[in-house]
Amino acid sequence: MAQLNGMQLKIEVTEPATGMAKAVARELAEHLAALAEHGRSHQVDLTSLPMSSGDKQELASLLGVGEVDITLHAMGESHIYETAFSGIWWVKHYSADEQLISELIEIASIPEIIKSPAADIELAAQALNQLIEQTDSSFDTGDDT
Amino acid sequence: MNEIELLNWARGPGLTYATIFMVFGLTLRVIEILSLGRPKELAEVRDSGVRDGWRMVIMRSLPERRNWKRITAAYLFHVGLLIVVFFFIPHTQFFRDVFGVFWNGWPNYIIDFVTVVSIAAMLYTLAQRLFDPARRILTTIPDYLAWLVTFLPFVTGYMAFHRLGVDYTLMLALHILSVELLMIALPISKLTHAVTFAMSRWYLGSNNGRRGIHV
Amino acid sequence: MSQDKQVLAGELQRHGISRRSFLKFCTSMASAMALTPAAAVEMAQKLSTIRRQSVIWLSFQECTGCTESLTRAHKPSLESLIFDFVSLDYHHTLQAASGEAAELAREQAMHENGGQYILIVDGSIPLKDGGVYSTIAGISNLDMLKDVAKDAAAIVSVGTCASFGGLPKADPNPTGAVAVADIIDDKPIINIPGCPPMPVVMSGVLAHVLTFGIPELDALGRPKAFFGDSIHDRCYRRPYYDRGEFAKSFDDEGARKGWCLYELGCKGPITHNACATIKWNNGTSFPIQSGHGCIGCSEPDFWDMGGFYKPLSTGTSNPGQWAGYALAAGAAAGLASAAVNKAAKAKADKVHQPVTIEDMGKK
Ligand code: SF4
Repeated sequence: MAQLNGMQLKIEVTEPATGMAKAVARELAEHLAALAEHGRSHQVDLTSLPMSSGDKQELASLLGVGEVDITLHAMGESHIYETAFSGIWWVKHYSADEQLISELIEIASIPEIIKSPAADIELAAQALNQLIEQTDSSFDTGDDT
Repeated sequence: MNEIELLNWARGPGLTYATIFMVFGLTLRVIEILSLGRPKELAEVRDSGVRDGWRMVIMRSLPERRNWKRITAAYLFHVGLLIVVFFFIPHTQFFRDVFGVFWNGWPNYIIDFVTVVSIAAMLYTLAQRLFDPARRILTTIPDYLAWLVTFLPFVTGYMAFHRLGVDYTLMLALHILSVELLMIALPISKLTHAVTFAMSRWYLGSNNGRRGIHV
Repeated sequence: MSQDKQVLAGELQRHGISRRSFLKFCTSMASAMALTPAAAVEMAQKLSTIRRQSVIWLSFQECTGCTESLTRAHKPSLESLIFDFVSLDYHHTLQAASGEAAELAREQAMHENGGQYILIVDGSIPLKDGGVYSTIAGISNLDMLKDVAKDAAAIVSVGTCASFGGLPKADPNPTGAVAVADIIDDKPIINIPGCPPMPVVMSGVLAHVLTFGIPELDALGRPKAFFGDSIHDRCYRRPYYDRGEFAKSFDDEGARKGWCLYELGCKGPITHNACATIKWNNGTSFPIQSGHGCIGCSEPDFWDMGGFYKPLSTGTSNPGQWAGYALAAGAAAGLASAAVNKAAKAKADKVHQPVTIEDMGKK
């Protein structure tokens, strides 16, 4: 007991589950079917749903964890992983100071935000060519800095 | 005028005007009534009447058996009114602000229950006036108005607390305004009995006593 | 100038803001405004294809707190990203130019984007004595507002001063301050009150205006998405209020237990804002969470609610003092009336004629 008193305890309070997880899961199943059949993707905003932290835990354990885990660095990190169910992605956006700013579930073959935008690819192609030209010229002068 | 402006008016100038009117009116009336004194007694006075005066004050405050339903309703309402006015916590804040004295309010669930009971009792007394032929004849428009200005603070207060109907800000403003209406009605209607009931009962009782009628 | 006319997307990238960043921005904006996630994608698409929106920001009787709130995050926050979607053509505090060059920039923007620019106003407008109490470059606030509003596509009143008059309008309102909406009535006006307003509310509303147009507003011209609920509706101390458990001072047991702050003057029940859900300083806290009641800063005339520490159920002035005078006056009137009545009674007594049995027999 004496040691316990000196210990720093971090207590995380989990609000009780309310049964929301089941309802959300059912909705996800519908959208997943639509994705399989018509290729229609969909998103569910968890931030605006009245879900307790217990509900979220329940939903997360229900969906499980799949093979893909992505970290995005765009004005703060974003953590994205595919759940055990292909096509269901859990997306968490954090701000630069690590605050959770939005949380959603995407039903898609790949989350919207992960896809490289066409315009960016175009710009990247140009940039890469430029870079190659530059490095070529630096090889010519023998300057290795 | 938006809701906040209405609320600020009700809590500021409105409250001041209503207070001035009520205090002035009630003081005037009480002094006037007291100064009238008794009429000249033409017959021989048989008793001081003091005892009978007090008896009447008490007797008329006790329930009688004639119409137990109506009496119960009247009781519930009057007691309920006093409880809600003086023991709802936000109201105690009001009295502390005005008089500087503080007493503990009662838990909200009790006040809530009492309010519902009071509203029901008031509706019952109204129904009596409307459906009982004798009472209907006896009831005048001012009686209905007196009932209404007493009823309104209850309903608006209840609705404000439970966030029913219109936006809370507006409801709160309406509640305060309805109380101010009641304050204005107090000295100019039969609702004056709120302050004169005891003295008028004592007067009646002692008058009877002086004439030898002891109840 | 020609660069400003370009489509946004490429330009943002040159400033190091990736498309993913602003999709993320849009996602959080959409979520804050309770729009669907699909709307976020749409918003991002729209933002990347629109041209930079010209914005003229006029500051009148204000304290610059609104600008601070929006721009002074420690790290480049998502909220401040909104500045990358607009071309801020005139803003006292933020622009480099000053004096005549600044005014010239304003006139040029008005001329080039007539009918299309958005006018943002912070601060109230003094009307008393011909508006002499606040002028910019010798032009009264009233004249400048009217002039710039004339060709604006829409007006956004940022802060309680521009929205409702705010501090300058507080009783006794020495400068005759009024809100923007008291002067301009022929343009769409969005009010974003707050002293200061929440950064995410400002940027969210601007993002909405840029992409989907004017959001849905309440009776006081505030976007419903942020001002639809009262602080009290969303307050985590609400259960204590409902149970009637109130802190009685800032350091009593109740205060330490986190009970409701109603008795300490909390104006949460009548205040509409998003503080209780979105919170301040990147979601860290909000006044009630730090133990102080809500002062009602996003409501009109919040300075005149009788004091920040006076409970909502009390009067704003003290009626007790008036009651004393009324009592004295009532007593005086009562005594006067008593004297009159007494005289009447004495007169009646004098003319009183006792009736005898004989009199009755006479008929
Ligand atoms: S602290 Fe204020 S907003 Fe919160 S419950 Fe109490 S009165 Fe309502």
